[in-house]
Amino acid sequence: MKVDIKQLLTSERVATGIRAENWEAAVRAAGRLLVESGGAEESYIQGMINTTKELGAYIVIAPGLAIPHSRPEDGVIQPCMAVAVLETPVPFGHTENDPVSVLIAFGAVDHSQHIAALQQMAEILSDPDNLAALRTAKTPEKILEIMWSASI
Amino acid sequence: MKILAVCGMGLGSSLILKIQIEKAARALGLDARVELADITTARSLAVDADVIVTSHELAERIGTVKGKIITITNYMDLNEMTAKLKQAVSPS
Repeated sequence: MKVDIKQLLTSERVATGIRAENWEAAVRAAGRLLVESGGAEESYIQGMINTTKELGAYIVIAPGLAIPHSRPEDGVIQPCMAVAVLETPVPFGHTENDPVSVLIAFGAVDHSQHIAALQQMAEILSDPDNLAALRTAKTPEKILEIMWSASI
Repeated sequence: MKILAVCGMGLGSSLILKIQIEKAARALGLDARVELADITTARSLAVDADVIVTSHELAERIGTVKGKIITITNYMDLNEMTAKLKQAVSPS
C-alpha cells in the first residue's frame, strides 16, 4: 500500500523557528514532532541520533537539508514524516552541504509504505525554488503549502 | 545495465537516489535496472552492478568493487546525477 505525503506529514508535524544549538538538538526537535503526534516511540529519537553517529553525515542530502531517520524496529508506530525549519542553521559535519537549516525526519515501518511520500518529497524539493522557500519558511502553514503541493 | 543505489539503511536516501537515477537514465537513453542496498548488503549486491551510486561518506565503506562508483553531493540536483552517470557509462 502506498501512502500519500499528507498522511505522513500531517499539520501537527511541522514547525518553524526551531532553536537548536547543535545537530543533535536539531534531530531531537524534529523527532519530537514524530513522537508527540503518535508517529514514533520516544526511543526513535535516540535511534536517529545513534544512526547518524554510526553512518555519518550522509543524511545531509542537499545544501541545507538533512533527512534524519532510523530503522523501523527503533520505535516507529506508523509511517510518519516531520519538517523542522531551524532559526539558525547548524553544521552536521558534511563537507559540502553544511550548514543545515531544514530537517525532514521520517519513520518507516517497512520498505514500501513510505515510498510514495518520499517520492513526492523528492519531486517537490528537486525544484530549487521550493527548497529555498522551505529554508526561509516562517510559519508551519508555509511548510505545508510547499510540501503538500505534489500530493497525489 | 544494473545500477545499485546505496545508503545507510536502504530506507531513505537510496530511494531518493533511485528516483533521480531513473530520471537521469531516461534522459540519457539508458536501459537501466535500479536496485537498492543498505551499507551492509552493498558489497554483495554490487557484484554484478555496472554502476554504484552513493554519497561520499558511504563510498569509502563500500571499498573496491567491479562496477564504477559515483558519489552524489546534492541528491536533489538532477543535472549532477545526469552528468556523473553519463561519465560513468561512457567508455574510458
